[in-house]
Amino acid sequence: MPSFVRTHATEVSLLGVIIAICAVLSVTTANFFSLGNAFDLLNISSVNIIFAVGLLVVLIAGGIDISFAVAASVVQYGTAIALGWIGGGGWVSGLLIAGSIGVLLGAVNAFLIHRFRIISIVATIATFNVYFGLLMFFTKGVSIYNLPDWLTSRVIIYEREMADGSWAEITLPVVVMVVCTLATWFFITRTTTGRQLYAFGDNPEGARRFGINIGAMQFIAFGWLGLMAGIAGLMQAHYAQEVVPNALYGRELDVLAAVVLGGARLGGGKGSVLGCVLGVLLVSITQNGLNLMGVSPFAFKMIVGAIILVAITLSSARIGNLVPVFATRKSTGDRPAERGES
Amino acid sequence: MLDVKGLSRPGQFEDISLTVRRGETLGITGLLGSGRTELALTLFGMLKPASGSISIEGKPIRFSSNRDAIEAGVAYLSEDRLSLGLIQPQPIADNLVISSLDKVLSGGLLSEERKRSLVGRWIADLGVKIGLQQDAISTLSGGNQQRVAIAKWLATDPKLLILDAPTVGVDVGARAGIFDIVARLAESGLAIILISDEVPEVYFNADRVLHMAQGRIVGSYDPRTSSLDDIEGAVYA
Repeated sequence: MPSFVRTHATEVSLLGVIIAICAVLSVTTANFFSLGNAFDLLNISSVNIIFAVGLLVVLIAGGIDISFAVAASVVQYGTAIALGWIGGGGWVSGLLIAGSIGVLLGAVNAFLIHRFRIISIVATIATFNVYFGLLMFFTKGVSIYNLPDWLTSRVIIYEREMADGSWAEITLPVVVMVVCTLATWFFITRTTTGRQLYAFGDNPEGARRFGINIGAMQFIAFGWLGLMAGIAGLMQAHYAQEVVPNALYGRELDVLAAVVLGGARLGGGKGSVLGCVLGVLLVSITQNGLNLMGVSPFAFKMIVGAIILVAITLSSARIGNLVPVFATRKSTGDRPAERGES
Repeated sequence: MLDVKGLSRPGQFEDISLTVRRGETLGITGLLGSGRTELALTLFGMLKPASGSISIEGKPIRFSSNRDAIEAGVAYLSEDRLSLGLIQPQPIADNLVISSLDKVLSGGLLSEERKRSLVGRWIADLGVKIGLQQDAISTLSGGNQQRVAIAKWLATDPKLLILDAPTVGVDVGARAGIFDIVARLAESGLAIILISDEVPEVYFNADRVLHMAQGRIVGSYDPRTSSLDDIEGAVYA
């Protein structure tokens, strides 16, 4: 479908880069090209993909959020405590509690941004510090290891024994990730609210004149990210089988870079779920490949950073994604000539 | 259709009374800063009047936001098409349906098919020249962009259409096309308020012309009995 290639240039080129990296890794390492490793990649990437699709919605709405990963840590503690109160709970109550706390923390951001007209990066850097400060203060940095059994026991959805006797497994976070991804895709492409988020992100004052409720847009965008962050937090606790207060600290920038890599524009109005997922996968695959190649983990961040830079600058049009000032809509030189209509 | 009595917003406009009937085009002219855009935004529910009343079809109305106004059948074509009237980087089709998304739903969800057919109908009806519906609106000429902006509001089924400086950035040849559309809409029964600081535009395209200066209506003219020079003399004096 040539029109798909034309309208999804970012996604197609990302897919191309991923295929190229996979091809190289398959040849240069012994273990990369295996079902077990592919499933591991999915298991490891799930939490980040859930974060990413949530952040995508905020970026589309023209905002940015620095606080969501730390908010997810707050969710982990809050959920662990609440589950203690109700005597253990289960997956349903766990997801409900985590999702609710997440939405609440997202709504705090939306409130600050909408009510006090604070730009989102400043508001969320503030809440990032407040959330993390409160967390360290009240937990005194102490981790929680005695989580309920249902939360810490691995849930294997699909498994298959490999020729060498190892098991390739798909675990619960992957399924949750797929559900979150599809829900987000559905939300932003098939609902009127999703369509309005794109309009709002691109042109908030224009959107207001079109009859879009811009206050609601902020709460919906940050609420959605909060929900995803809550779910991702619970999944991370499940995957790690413990709750550590600073486990997710710094994760926000990894996710942000991956989402922007996936074609979302800092400045709003642009981004797709497919691109976002591919962006996270590209980073994960690179890290996984470096690991298998025996590169020091200390070099990971450096190399991943370089790959993101190269990927984004390869196409000069992409500069507009990073710095909205350079985006075509902001420049004055590209207004269409007022041609005569014959 | 629209009946405004004693509408005021201190510092912007004072004691504005006017009526617009179905099928009538009311022209409002005046220099920049005469309060015409603020008046339009108030009729569209985006500014709140300090005093006075607005009635639509005999019913007094208080808008808490422009969503109420749109619901009541008021549409407002913004004065700045490039930055406020359209979302320049986004597709033509998405721009056209953004204020009437409820009309392209199927089973509660957005339907590409319905969108395409709705957009296709309006594009044909207003004679917009486009390549693909998915092209960015910024690829169109000023006149064609303005037609899409008008179509966006017509798609909301308005009873009153307020056009604020609809020909700014539209070249001379294409302006006539825009006013042909305005005339056709009035004929079909729409009430229209046409705001422009170019006196000839309202003189030749409106049934009545109001002159606003410093927030007040200072003159009312009938183009059939007044000469263009009279009005221009008063406005540009």
